[in-house]
Amino acid sequence: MGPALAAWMGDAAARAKTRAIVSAFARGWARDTPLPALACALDRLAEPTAEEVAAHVRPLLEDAGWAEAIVARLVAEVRRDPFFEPPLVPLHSDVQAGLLLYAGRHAVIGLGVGALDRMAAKKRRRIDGSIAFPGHASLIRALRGGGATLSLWTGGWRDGAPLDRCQAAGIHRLRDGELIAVDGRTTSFLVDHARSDMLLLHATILAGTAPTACEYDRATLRLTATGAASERASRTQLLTTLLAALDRPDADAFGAASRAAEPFVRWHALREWLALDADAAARRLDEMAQADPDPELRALARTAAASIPCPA
Amino acid sequence: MQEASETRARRRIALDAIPEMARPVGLFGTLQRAEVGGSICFSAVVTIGMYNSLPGPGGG
Repeated sequence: MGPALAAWMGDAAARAKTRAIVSAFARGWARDTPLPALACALDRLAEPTAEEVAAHVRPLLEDAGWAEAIVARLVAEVRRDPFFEPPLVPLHSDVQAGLLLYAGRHAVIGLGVGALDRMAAKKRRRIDGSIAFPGHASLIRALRGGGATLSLWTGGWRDGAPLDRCQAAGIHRLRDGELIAVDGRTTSFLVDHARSDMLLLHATILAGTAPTACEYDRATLRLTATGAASERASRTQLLTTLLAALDRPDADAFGAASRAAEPFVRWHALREWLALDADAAARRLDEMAQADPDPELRALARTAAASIPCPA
Repeated sequence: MQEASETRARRRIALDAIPEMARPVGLFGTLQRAEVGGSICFSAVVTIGMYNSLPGPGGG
């Protein structure tokens, strides 16, 4: 423990002063940012499209003076009290450090610094790099663009299936203050070069996501992997597997999970249900064979129905 | 009805005997090989997913 921290830990008045600064910051949050109003507007939307959510979020990124004010306030508070920690969830990835500003059902907004040295280090490590399409739309306001050059790509989902290959779609030089929309269901970007750190206000639209995120090999541009585009989908898969592991053939839970929006979740749930209680799952299997909107699932269900022995 | 379903013998099938989809789908946040960009590595969503999975304030 350094001497400054030791002194602060031993000084109740100093700690109380720090807490007061943090509390004042939190109180100012509702007064000084448009985020509470955004939360109210988004909470009123039941099942919006990505475009409807983006229409509410975009004005906050177009007029981002409030976000610049947050940065200035954070810097001022840390200078005033080095033990000040903002009452916001920290966000960290291997290339950025930031703060969560808003998290709701339909959108997430974060403010982060894309650090040049971390980006360079990641590029040096990645011999077998890839191009990822996250499956959701994003709006990104480059408060500081870092002189970055982005390569743009098209791929992801089209006509109900992931494309086998992605394609280059040009180069974009990011300007300070620029707002870019990235529909991660079908488009993506890589930061090819940057001259300095990037300060990004980033809104992720959680409505209208593609069934999966897609990852393409950087060299061959071929699809190499897909992953769930929503946390809910993976939770549903994990919970149905847990029910099976606990030997709990809960028909309501498996029935609901087998009607999830994502085909891979529906099939995962039905497989677990069949393994646990084939007769209880048989009707749902038949429904899926007849009428599931996904042709692969219809075929799989017919194959499974034919291969599963009839009850004795 | 509930009692009947609880008392009947359940017929189990080996999971391996049930066909799988042609392309496996990883769990949320497992695509990690991406280069710098793609809005995955800049995205808050993966971090939020991990955060929400933790016990304690804001999680659970």
